[in-house]
Amino acid sequence: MNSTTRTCTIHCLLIVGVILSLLLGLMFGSVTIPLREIANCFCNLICGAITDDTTSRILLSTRLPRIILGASVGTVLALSGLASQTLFRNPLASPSIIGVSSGSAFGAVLGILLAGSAKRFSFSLVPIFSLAGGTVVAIAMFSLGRRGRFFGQSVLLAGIAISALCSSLTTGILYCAGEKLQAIVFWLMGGLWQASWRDALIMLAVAAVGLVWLTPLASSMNLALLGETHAHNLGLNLPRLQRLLLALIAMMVALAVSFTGTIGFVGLIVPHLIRLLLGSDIRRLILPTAAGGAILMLNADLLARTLASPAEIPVGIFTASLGAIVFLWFLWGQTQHLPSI
Amino acid sequence: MTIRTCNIIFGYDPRRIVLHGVTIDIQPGKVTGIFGPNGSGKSTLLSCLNGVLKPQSGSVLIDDCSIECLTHRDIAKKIAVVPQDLPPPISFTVREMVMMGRFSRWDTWQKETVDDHRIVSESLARMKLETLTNVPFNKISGGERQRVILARVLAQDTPILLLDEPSNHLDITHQLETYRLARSLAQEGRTVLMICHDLLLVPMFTDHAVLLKEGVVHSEGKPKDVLNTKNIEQVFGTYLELNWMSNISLTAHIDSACLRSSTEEGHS
Repeated sequence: MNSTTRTCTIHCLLIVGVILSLLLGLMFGSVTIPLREIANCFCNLICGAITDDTTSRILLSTRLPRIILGASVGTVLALSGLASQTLFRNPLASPSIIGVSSGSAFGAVLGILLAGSAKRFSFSLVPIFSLAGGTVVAIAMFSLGRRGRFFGQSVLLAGIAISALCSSLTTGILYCAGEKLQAIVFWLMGGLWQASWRDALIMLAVAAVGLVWLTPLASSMNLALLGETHAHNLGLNLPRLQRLLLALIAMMVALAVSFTGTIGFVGLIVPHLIRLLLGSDIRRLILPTAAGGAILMLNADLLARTLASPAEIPVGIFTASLGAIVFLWFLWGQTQHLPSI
Repeated sequence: MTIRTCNIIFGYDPRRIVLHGVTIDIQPGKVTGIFGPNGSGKSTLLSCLNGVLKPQSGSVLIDDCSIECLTHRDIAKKIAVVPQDLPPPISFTVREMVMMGRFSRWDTWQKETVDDHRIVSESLARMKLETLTNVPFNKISGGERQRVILARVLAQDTPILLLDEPSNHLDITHQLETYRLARSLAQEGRTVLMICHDLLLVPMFTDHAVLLKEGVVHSEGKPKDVLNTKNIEQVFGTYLELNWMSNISLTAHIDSACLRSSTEEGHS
């Protein structure tokens, strides 16, 4: 099979995977809705016939926003993983390692703690605080990157230090949380159970912005992997690219964390999986990475809400375990191409 | 296209100045060789020439236009560089690596054109890399990687080429081929600057030699005149006598005392 057919096949499989995952997400949950009823419901919706039965209420106000949120968050996390691995030229980099998600998480936890004392704003306090936390961390990384001439190991280490600092602050809050402890811990584990149409549409827009932002940067990102001297010699303004990528990562991750909590491993594993399948050329990786993130997230969420139904298991457990198992299985089969950048 | 430097002073930190006012003038159609001992500022000078490093004072002019006025892309359309170090072993294929040489000509949304593919294929053929086209860059040898970087420089198709030890990692056949390539690029009318440590082979392939010592130009001119025993001893501190028999061959005499002491060390 030559490389073009292989690429086409993988693209088709990923598209089918996304569609299947979306359908499964609509069908299964605390009640199973057969495909025919889903089709009926959507036909009615398109024809403008208003139906107010339980099925359509479950589909339209619970499951649809939830799968849209899930797919968007998966896309956003996977893309920001790809961007951070490129930014730091390090296969281990991911939004949770470079501190942005811990910063957002700290902000959100602070928001939950304060929500009680300021009831009027409580509904929007968490996303705002989370966004602020992520932005502060990103600005700190920005200025560190500016002090040194280029991004490198030292900024990555600084990110790890910031991440540790934020985690310890979060732990400090947990210690003083009192009766809110359970809410905070559950939120920290991450999940999509709070999905509303507002969250879903905002995240969908963020995912779209991420895709549109990254696509024209792809060939520059390829060059960035060669290191600063080679990139400069080939005509790339590397500091500018690094600023663009960091801003994008901060925006995407902070919003994702504010709506769904910290969901680990998607950003780390999906880019590597896709790279194992399609090679290193980032121009070929962006859409498949987005699709891969959506698939992983949708299926993890499906397991999270069906396995112990009607209770919910935190989705982070499944993204990490599903991701790790699939990844190890791929590694087992691939003796030739070990993951690198 | 000529590239000139005007009294450039550069130091990685203010207490340790590497270049103490270097003025050189590199002409098109010629191979200019820069020679000098380790740490004499050769590679630093080369990095100043394409704007990777910004001199603390002095200027770099390409056809009388200051390099400061040019964007990264504009510079890459005029100057191609083989840096001293290879890129990290990433898993791009050889062809993808060479294609990156075309980057400076692409707009934001533009894809590779038929022209790009043709030039990349020609460059690969010129460096005899056709058999490795689809092999990942991290699965080939050091010498092959060096040739991939040379092919990428050819694909960049610029009027000025700066080669920092282009024969690194190469066997003797490929070394000679690289020097011949530099010559033929100069004959096409391009400006070629080469940094090399090989005082025995490279002078034959250069038209103009610049000898650097501790960040200043010690002497420059025809290789035959510049690389004489006295200059080499002053700059490198080693006795080496090059006998220029004709333009195409030379023999070297090394201080016999130096040979003796090295064999004795070997025996003891």
